[in-house]
Amino acid sequence: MSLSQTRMSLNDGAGTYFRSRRARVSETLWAYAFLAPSLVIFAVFVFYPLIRTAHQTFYQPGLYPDAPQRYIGWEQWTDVLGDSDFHATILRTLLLSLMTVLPALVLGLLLAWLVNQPLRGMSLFRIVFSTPVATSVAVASLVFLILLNPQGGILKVDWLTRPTPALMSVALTNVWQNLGITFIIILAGLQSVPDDLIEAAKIDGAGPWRRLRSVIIPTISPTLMFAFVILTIVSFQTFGQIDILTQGGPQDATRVIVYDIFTNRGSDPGAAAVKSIVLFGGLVLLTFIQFAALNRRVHYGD
Amino acid sequence: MSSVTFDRVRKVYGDVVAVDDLSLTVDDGEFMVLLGPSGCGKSTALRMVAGLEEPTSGDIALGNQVVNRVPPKDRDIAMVFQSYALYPHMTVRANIEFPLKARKVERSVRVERVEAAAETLGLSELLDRKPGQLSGGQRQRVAAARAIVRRPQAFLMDEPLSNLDAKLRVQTRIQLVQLHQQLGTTFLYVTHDQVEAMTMADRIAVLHDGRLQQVDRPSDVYDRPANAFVARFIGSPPMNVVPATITIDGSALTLNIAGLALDLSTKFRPEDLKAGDVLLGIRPEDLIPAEDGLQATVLGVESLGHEAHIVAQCGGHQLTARIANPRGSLPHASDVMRFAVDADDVHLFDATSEQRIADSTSS
Amino acid sequence: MSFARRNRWLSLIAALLMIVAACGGSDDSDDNAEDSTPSETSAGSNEASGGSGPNVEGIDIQVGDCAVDALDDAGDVVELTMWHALAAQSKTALEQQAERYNASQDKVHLTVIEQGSYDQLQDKIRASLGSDELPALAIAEDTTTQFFIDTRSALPVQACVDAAQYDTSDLLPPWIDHYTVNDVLMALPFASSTPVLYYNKNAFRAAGLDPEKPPTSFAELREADAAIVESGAAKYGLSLKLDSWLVEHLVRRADELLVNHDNGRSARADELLVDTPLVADIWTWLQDEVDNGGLIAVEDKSGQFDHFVAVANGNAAMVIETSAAIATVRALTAGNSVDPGTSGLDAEDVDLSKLDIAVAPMPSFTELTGSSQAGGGGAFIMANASPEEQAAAWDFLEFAMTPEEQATWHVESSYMPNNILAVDEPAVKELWAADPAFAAAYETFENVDPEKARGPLIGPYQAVRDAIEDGMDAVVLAGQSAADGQDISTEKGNKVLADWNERAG
Repeated sequence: MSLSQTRMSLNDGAGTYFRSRRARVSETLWAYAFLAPSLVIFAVFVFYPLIRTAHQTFYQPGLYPDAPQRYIGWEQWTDVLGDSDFHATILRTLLLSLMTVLPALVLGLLLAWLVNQPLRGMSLFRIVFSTPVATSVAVASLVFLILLNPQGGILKVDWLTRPTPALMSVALTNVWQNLGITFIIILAGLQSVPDDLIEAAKIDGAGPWRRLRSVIIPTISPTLMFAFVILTIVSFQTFGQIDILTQGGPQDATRVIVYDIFTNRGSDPGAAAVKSIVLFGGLVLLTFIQFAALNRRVHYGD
Repeated sequence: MSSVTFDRVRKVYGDVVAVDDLSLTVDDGEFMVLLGPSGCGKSTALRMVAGLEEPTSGDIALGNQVVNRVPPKDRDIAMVFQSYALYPHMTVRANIEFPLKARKVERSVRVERVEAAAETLGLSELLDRKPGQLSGGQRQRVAAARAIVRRPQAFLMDEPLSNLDAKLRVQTRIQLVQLHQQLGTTFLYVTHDQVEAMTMADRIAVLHDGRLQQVDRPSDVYDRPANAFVARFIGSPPMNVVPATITIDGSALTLNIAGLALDLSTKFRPEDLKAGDVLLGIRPEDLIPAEDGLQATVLGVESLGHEAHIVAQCGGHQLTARIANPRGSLPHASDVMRFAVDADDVHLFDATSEQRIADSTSS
Repeated sequence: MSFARRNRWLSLIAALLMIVAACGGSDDSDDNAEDSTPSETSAGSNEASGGSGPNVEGIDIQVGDCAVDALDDAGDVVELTMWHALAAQSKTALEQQAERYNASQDKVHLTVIEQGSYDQLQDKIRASLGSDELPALAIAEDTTTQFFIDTRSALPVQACVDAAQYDTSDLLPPWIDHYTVNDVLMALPFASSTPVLYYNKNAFRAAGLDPEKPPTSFAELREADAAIVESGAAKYGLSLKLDSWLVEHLVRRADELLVNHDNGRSARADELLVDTPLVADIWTWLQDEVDNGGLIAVEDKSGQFDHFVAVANGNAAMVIETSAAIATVRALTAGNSVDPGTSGLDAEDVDLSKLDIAVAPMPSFTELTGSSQAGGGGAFIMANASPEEQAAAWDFLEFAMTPEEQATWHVESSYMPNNILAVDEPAVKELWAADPAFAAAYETFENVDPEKARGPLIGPYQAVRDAIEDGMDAVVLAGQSAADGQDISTEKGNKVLADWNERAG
């Protein structure tokens, strides 16, 4: 039986209709054709660098161009993974993430909830709170630098020169930077909460706090989960703020993993490659954990 | 125990008047139905009682207390929404329990009341399921359970049956009436379905364009509609309301329409009538096919088995006649038929104001 | 096979093809093939090399060819690019020199591009190695000599010196010595400088100190700090950026070594020698001075100028910094606006009336048993530039090194004159008479032993500096013990050196 003679029948409930195998293949090819541009971009800018970086972790580069690379197996991995400085970097990154994600979520929820009230002038606040989305990291960090500069900043504080306040300042800038998108995401979630659900809660006797806790938050839990995951990933990739505000200081207090990779890229590319892969793997693992731990509590609707 | 009172309540949204000068008292323990077509203001009125909207002017009172400024959670009322508004992430038990938890009722009391409410509505087996796992009828019962668990002063219901299929609707109607009898609490029930109103209400308040048209017991609304609107709304099929003329010749009062000249002196007094145009109201079952009488051309016949509806064109208007237990052959489209009408069955409405014209039987 | 399964196979094959394509063209080799470095040394004779030091074991330098006559055959104007890391007044002076050069001939058009700080410039060079992004000429930090040797990315200036038969004996001997390795001159001194002590005479007077007798040792520094702070002449006495060269110069002045194998001059250095009593004393001194309020110390990071600003706004009375800043300081106090570049300094920020800045040689820790150390930036010619560009680069360097040009250069930029004949030029004599500050750096090197003034030869110099600063910061800023700090630095430094030496093969 030739290909074109093979028929597949599909029953869609309203009757059956036939599509030839040739039509199916053609449709699949068209699908790949449309996907191709996206796939190519992904392949070139994501997959290829990822694989090359992984490849690079097993080699020690020579010093001069065209120098051969030396295969050193897992040596670079053990070096980096056993380096106590790197452990400290990872801890710092986790700490920064914590100081960024939780306040951003809470603030984003609070602001979105406030703006969602039927009061006059709320559309103005909607615009205002969304503006961080439109600012670049560099610009925002510069503004914070103007505020916090130990020499001649507008706020006369020396946060940037002391380790713990410096990390907090970076977190502050980070929270501000990400507040826009968090606010927008959560607001969208809030606006899709059915009105009568809130009204029922009001009539049932729930005050604003209980409504938020027992009705609103569970209903928007998919949105919150999404924001949580995205914020975590973004916070692990913090770079611009550190480059402008603290350059990894004071005394490495703000040397988080992406900044570490960046400063190592020329002088120790092998180690930088290892750290990049560790970052990638770590984020995948972390996202996994987030889903496993929290998915139970996320209610995806009827 | 309390009554619900609307005192000249008005609700305006921008240019639109949703409720216009509504004055109505729902007696303590009464099952009052607010009936009317979409947009007549019945839901708005209900929401104002709930506290979800505030009147533009006028007062809403629960019992003796004016509650305009009181927030919903402090009014002792419960509401069943058209969509049930169950909390999808909570179990049935948690849903029913929620109003008690919100008011910080003690745990043991909560457990007891939840079980009682569930028992009353036949939900005891379903307490650990989530709303997503329930059928429409079950969900509606959960909504009702959540409402009764607090034993409020009044129950508000916003078209609770409209999302159910026809058969379930009939069953649930009966259950709701039983519930009302069991609890004895004031029920304020909103619907556009006049069958629900007729079968469930102690009294019906008919609303149209934000105005109260009539408030009476169902039988009174049926037998003595206050105006042409109510007449056309109540009944299934509803009353025929068509233009006719009155001629007065001394003490002879005659109704003229489409070949029918009917003597009204048995039902109407001369002083109540004016010669000229008038609106005639006649129920479908009161149009009796005969050799002589009102003439109309058949447009179509619907046979329901136990009865048949004949839709006929009379002048520029349609008439529907209801024939119970049809025997023999039914007429066909474009047949010309004649109907006899008994003067006792005649309702008259003023041609301009559409208000009911009093007859000698009304008190 | 069902259609669904076949589709999945197709996707998988597509993915694998992409991966294979990605892996193709890689330059890995699985065996430990070490490229044997060709052992041919310089073809030309070593004419004017000032270096008389030992040969560095294990390093072979290919000198290559510098086609100095290529310019004559070049048809069009040769575009020459030079990268540098100069700032403020020095940057302006360099740009003016480039203009003079361009005006003086029509074969070459020189463009100078600032690339941030020396570190940032080095990062850029490293990232551009092997590509045609690299310019033909770069003023790289004096510490990068070994880097250029090991990455084989510089054309040793020796090649051009030999080809043009140029006499380098008038160029600063300590610097020529510093840039010579295995008798091959790698670079010409260009932006030569050394750390000096800047101090505010007004503050000294207010503190009852003799403004003509600035401190020459760290013990005297401490005394001066105490006097200044006590008298309220300034909030702090000394202001310092915790830069590794502070340690390096103090070590050199005490005639000690920074790394082993004779500071990397007899063989590749593989040990960082900061585990010494001297370094412990230095760091403890700094820590104590911070604790008793005499010193304000700021961390070294890109664009760090807070230590300057502290003196400018009167918070501190002294700062140890490069002699090349004199021109900028003078320009600021004269009220001229200065191209801030990466300096962040603006005349408006400075209250001029309080400042009477003088310059003195950098204090030694105890006494000067060793020497001041050659430093600053050297002119390196890149190996993969075209012969015309290399010839153009050499042409510019010849122009820049004339006594007249060096005189103008020194006067405008306050960098040391690289040609010793420049000090006889009238412009220089006038300036030094009017403002001795400009002479201070040159005078410290007048009678110095070139061998002692040579800086260490370290491949991964930047990383070693980071290691030293990590230890120093831990002690001075975070209050750890000197021993702990030294451990930190030694561990990191040795690892960095070992990695580099491995990679160098």
